[in-house]
Amino acid sequence: MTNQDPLSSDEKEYMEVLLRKKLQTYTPPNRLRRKILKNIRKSEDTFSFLDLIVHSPLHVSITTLLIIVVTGTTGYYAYKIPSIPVKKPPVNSPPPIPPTPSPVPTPTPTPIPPPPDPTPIPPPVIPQIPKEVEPSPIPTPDVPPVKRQTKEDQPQAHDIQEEVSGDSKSYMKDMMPSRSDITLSIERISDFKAGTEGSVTIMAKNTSKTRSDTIKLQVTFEERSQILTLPSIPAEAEASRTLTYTYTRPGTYTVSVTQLETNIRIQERIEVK
Amino acid sequence: MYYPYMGITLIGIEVFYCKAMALLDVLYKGLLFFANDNSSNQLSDNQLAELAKTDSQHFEELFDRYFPRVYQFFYFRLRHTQNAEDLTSEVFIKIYEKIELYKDTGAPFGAWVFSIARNTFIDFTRKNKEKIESLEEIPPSAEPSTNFDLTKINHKICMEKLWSAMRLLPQKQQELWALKLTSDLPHKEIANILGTTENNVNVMVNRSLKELKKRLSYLSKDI
Repeated sequence: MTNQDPLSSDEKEYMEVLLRKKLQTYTPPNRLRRKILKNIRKSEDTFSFLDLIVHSPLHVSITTLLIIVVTGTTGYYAYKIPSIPVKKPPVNSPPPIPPTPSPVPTPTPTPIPPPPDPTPIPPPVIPQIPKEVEPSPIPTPDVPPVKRQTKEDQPQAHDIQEEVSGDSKSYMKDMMPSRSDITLSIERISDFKAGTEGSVTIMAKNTSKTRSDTIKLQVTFEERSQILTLPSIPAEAEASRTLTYTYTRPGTYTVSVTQLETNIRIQERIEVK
Repeated sequence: MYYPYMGITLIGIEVFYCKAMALLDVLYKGLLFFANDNSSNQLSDNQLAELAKTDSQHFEELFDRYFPRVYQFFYFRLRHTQNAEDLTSEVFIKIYEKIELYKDTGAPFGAWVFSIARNTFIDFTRKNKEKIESLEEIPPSAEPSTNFDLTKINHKICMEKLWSAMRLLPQKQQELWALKLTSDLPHKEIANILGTTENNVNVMVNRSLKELKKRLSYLSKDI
């Protein structure tokens, strides 16, 4: 029967071609193509950090960047954390106390009588002193180099022994006057007798026409020494300080006044009868 | 001493790096685009598969080459549009997920694709055993005609009858023909997929064609 019908190669090819043709009529819908591609893209969109590092053509750059970021961040915090409690002076220190020259003479430990010619002291203008007051970069030719303490140069609130006469003006205009503009002098107020008190007035005159000045004086009487500050002496004005001493026995006493900024010294001999 | 602006500097470097990388990425993709545009059509399936491991554009190119054939493979086996679509979709998702595991051993890439398709089909038939009807036992409806010449039959009618008769072949032979007609693989590769020898494939092909002719000869009276 069927075995008797030989299958020629033409027939084989013909059958195969017909089957292929028939199969070609079953084309997949484009909707299916879109759906599959959408699913694939969706799964592609799920970000994998490992894929980024391993498969990206820029994986060397990404790895380098990661190392830089991690190292930098670690280093930053490693240095930052211990530095937190450290107080930085410009940021955390309390603002400097401005000088408050009291209009009323404050009593000193040693009883000091009021100045002989008290001039009315106007309410002082509190100078806004900047924090970093640097000394003048141009040194004065006749001033020897001395130890300069800028903070001590500024008037301090604890200088309660001062009795300052003269106008106080803001010296914001010229903060760094030449020290040679100050002229010192010592005046006796009363006669000196043994067993009594006698006063010595130290006068400081600012001969500058434009600059106000603050000076520091070291007054030595025999072996006793004290530091006085005369703050904010206006231009062409005088400031004075009266000191009272008790002379226990007769003799010759020496009062010396040294301006600390310039080391200029004046002396006065006092004869006590 | 730690440089106080190190953090800011690093951020600056990072921003610069990101910008530079984005620029490089754009340039790289642009180069890839031109490269693909000129030569992707000339690439073999195997070369394209290697590129598709890192680039989805190449994968889409590969997808377009195999999508109709895989669909036809399933349709040929199932004769059911919805199932064929589902299985086709499943196969390409699998291929996308496993493309990194593909190794070019010299065998055509299609062999790998149709192995996955065949395994997917086997899984499907295991799960839906009752739905797959075997027509192997359906007897021919009439006696075969003598001196039957296929080529003299109207080819459209012949094509339809062949298509119908194909359903009457044993499952093994249907599977063979599905692979032969859709994958365009040589018999050797088909034999590898089916786990048999090339000679056995040749024998099965001849045997199935004779059977088809016999089936058609039974119907020749109606033609």
